Amino acid sequence: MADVMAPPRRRLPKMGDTTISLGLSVLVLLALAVFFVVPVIAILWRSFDTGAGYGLGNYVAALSDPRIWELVVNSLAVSGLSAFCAVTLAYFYAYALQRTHVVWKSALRMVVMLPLFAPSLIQAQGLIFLLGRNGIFNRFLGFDIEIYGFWGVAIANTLYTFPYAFLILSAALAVADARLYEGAIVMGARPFKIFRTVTLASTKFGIAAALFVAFSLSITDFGNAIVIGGNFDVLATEIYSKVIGQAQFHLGAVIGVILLVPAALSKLIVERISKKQHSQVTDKSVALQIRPNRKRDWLFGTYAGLIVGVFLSVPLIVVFASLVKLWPYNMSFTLQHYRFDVQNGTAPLWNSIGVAMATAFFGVIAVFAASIVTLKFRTPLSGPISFLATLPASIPGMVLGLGYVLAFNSLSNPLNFLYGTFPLIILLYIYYNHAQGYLITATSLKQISSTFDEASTMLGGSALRTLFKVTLPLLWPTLLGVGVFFFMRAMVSLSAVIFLITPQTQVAAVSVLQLADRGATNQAAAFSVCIMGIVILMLLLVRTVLWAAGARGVTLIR
Amino acid sequence: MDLDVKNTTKRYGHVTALSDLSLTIPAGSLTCFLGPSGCGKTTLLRVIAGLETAEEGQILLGEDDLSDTPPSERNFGVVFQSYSLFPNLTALRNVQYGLECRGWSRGRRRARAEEMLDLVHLRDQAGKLPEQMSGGQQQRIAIARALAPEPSLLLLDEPLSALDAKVRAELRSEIRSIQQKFGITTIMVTHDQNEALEMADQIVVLRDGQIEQVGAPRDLYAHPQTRFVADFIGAINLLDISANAAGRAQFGMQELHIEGPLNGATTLGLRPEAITLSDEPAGAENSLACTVTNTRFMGNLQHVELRPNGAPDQLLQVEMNGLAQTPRRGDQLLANFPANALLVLR
Ligand SMILES: Nc1ncnc2c1ncn2[C@@H]1O[C@H](COP(=O)(O)OP(=O)(O)OP(=O)(O)O)[C@@H](O)[C@H]1O
Ligand SMILES: [Mg+2]
Repeated sequence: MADVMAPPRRRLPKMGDTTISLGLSVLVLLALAVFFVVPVIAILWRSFDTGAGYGLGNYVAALSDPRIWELVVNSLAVSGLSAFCAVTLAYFYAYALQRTHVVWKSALRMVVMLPLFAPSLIQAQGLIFLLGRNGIFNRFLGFDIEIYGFWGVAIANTLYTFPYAFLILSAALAVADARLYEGAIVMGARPFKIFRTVTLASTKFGIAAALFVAFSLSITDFGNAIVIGGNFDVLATEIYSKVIGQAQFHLGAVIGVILLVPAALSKLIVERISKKQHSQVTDKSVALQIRPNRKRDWLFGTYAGLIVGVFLSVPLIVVFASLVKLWPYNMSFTLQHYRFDVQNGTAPLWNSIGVAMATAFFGVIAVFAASIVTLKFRTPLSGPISFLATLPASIPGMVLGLGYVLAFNSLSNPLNFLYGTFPLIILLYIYYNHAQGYLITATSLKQISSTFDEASTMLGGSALRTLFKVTLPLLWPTLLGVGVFFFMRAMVSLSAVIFLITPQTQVAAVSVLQLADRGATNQAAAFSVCIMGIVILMLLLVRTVLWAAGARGVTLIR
Repeated sequence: MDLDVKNTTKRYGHVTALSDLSLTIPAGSLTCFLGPSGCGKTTLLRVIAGLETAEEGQILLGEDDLSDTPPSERNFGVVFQSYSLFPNLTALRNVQYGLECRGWSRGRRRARAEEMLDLVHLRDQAGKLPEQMSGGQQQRIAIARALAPEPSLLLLDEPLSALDAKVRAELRSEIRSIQQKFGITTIMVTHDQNEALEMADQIVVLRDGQIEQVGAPRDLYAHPQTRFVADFIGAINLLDISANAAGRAQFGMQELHIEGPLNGATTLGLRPEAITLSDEPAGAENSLACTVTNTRFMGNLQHVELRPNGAPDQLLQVEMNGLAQTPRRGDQLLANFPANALLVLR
């Protein structure tokens, strides 16, 4: 009788423990809402706020100024050119590493990663020491090069985006179906024709993805443009001068929204593309064997050597400059710039280390919680969370940073007390890099079979026990890798935090900019060297830990 | 305590994996769920385990309704097809896992785990990680792990299908003897009929999310009620028949004698080993004149394929033991079988 009348039951979540899973889901969603959605809305809101009601007034005002169109053209041109150059150069470099027998491959791979270990503007710094008015070429070798302006920014951004393009292209070139190549050879195709019809064709998605990634990195970066741009302004520097120089937040917001368009579009396109890329190589593909070919190896070896020369020269000249008394007038050796007796002394460096550590720690917790909630708990909130978790990748750092200012500087925000403190900077770094961290974690988590969860559940384990006894022990190498990623980004990102910095909350990347701006180039160089040194030390440390623990195949550099 | 599944329905989107299914698993028995791929075996097992929630129906253990009990509190042991040992824990720690969850003291835990390892003859592997053990060893550890917390029900989802033939045969009898030793109520999913016939007290044949027939292995083999069951368990000749004017079974040009009424059935089953061959009439209840169309020699067995002269469109398979007779292709023979060898199938 009772069983006939039994009311329809609600579906249990996958792991039982309804309260925990719902509670955690709500927490994750709330955090994403407050620290990501609200700031983005704040900047949109502000861009429509004309002071006398809401409307398109700001846009009309901004767009009717011919200067803004000049900036748009500048931004598109310089980013387009550097994306094209970075991808072309990186393609052949990746080809050398993946498809030829050049020697010292792992060293070649490491050297071009160097730009990731320092603030983007180290490229501009290095270029100025090399090619600037007082640079080696002009001053000592008798050249007369004018580097400030369009070309300087283009070259600096090419160097800055090269490693990102390289990583994508390297992955695209790593997979190849030998059957296609054998088919082409059997049909009598010449090497160049094979390259054009098979290699290029099968990596076209990788090339397109690399182009868009490089483009959106360039267009949203402002460190290089401000240091080496001279009178050449772009959208990113304009936001900076509108907000910091003139306190015109509404115009900053408008330009931010304009900047958001190409950045978000490229991100969308990259996502589309990478889905196609994955379906290209099937399980029937046959791995490619690289044939011996001395001539080819010499050719690509020479090319790789040239690229390595360029990528070493920038950080080396910066190191060198940090060790001389007064570039270029007094080139005698000194360690005085490492005394950091300017501005806040070493405080920004220690601040950065602390902020980066905290970002790594809490960032890992945030993305791990988001992954668990979306993949393991299956509550109704899972869908919205996984959508929001990957969204930050489409928002340029400067735009999110400005959003933080607008959202948290407002007295009506109950979290206003966070404004001007380190925790807010840490939160910004976490949510700015949330998408990549989440994707890495979620991918690894998916590879851990759900059978382990079920086995644990059936043995009487609660969701929390499963988490701590099974999931975490399997996942920690990946999480450590994600931690390094957060650490690195927090050490080097400049554009995201530039608006949140106060004299009490200075970080190293911003110090480099300010010192370079004031003409204290040697001290700025010393700061950059310290940042790079710390990042590299951290990478080595974590590499050692992973090696000692026997964890293989964890990618640390992304 | 018996386990009762009552009127259970489970849907995935618009796929109905289980439809209004009811079943009793007697206490202390080993029940096999048998059926083709996609018929809902795994789904039924997972619903019983609580890993899936059915839209309708109840799971009762004795008098207790378990439908709302979360899986972690049902105290059921599960062995999965993929070994699913925790890769970061040693064999011993894996076996202790369920005991830790139940808050057993360290000493008791260890003693019980070692007892379980002895049971599966793997005491010497206690300190090894799963990746250092063979598939068969891992599956044994998984069984020990499932049994350690003294579950009231043991659920196995194709536990042997990832293993090679020899290990599989060993483990079959091992699982069966452990099950009988503890008298633990056990459900095992398989799509291997031999496994089910050898191990089970009761076989549940599933088809499209519904129960086709339930019975002891011998019952199912000797008295399949449907064409599907007859065909699925063992080899069988399916004879297309119609009822003639006298209401008896007409097979081509010939009438067949059956036991009991036809009840409108259009198919009769006839096991290949129930047929004997002779040159002269042998006084059997049924006797069909046939032509040999093919023979296959398989050592101790011979398979002979016959075309009945009275129903040339239907072939009969015959299985003969030994080599007393050696029919050749083209021979004319009589196929003899008793009336009770003809199974009336729905
Ligand atoms: N998670 C799921 N989502 C959607 N449909 C499912 C899911 N699991 C099972 N099904 C469907 O339910 C039906 C029964 O599946 P089930 O896994 O129970 O079959 P099975 O008898 O165990 O088959 P096999 O022998 O292949 O393991 C199938 O049609 C299957 O496609
Ligand atoms: Mg199954």
